[in-house]
Amino acid sequence: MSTAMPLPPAVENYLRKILIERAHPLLLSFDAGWHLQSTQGDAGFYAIDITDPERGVRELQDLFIWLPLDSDQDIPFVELASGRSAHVHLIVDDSGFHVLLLDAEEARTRERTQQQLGNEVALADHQKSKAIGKLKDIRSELERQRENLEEANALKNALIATLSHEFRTP
Amino acid sequence: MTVQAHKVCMLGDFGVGKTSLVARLVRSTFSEKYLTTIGVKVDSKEVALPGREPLKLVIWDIAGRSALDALGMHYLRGAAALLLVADGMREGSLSSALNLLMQSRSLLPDALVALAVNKLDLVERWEVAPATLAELRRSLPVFETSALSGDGVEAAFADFAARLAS
Repeated sequence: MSTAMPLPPAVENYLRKILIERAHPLLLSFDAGWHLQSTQGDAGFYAIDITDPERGVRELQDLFIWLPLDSDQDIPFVELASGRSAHVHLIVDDSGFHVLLLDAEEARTRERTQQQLGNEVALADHQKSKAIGKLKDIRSELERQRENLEEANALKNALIATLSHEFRTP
Repeated sequence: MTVQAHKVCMLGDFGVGKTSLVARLVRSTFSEKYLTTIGVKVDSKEVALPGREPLKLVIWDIAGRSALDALGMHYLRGAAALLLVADGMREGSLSSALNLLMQSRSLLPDALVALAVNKLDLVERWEVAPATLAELRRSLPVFETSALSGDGVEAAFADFAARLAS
């Protein structure tokens, strides 16, 4: 089968539809000075307030600070102010650039579930190792005190034995 | 007036308190619940400087790792400063922070660096010895911080702001 063969139009349309539905694309088009020119998609889905460019756009601007705006950029898994996670892309165009947001919430939740568990186990293991270390120290200290007591007891017994002998044989 | 903005990246192992430090600085909040960061969360804080224009720190709270992978390096691009974060109760997290610094140097040779040794409120349980911190202070600024109480947090970021402005 040739890999270059185009997909049947019905399949391509179906794929486009479900991918767009899942990705919730939001496209914000800017001129070179970060002035918003147009938007396509649901800005409300990402809780980005495009009616207040100072606030809404600033959040996006901060992502590309000190990065060249004359080449395409992508920043995966960005947690937005709303708490929602998005893959953020900057796509350069003749008249400026576009910022494209694609929903990453489902992938982030999946990843977080796995990592959270692993990290919590690692932190608990560290606590356990510390507790075991402390118990070993306590046990060593108790052992040392027991040896000291035994030594003192042996000395005491030897002393009593000597004294008893002396009492018996004045 | 446009405020000069600089990107600051938080780098450190998981569970050291990077997200909590940012929450303390930006929102004056603290949560006991540990929630691992996936990807990156970007916040900003305007810092007033005596006799100068204020400066904006754009703080990138990057998911905790003991080593930087390709994605971690990707997030660092354009950073002017790196705040390394270690947990005073986990000596291994200090080694991780220093390892992350060495890795990031290939991409950001000139970025400002400081170390925050976090969880100062639990200092009686620290594994990191004062002598170790004294030795580190000879090569980079070290701040003992508590995201819970706020101790040392503003100072760490104010130090960056002052150095970035000069």
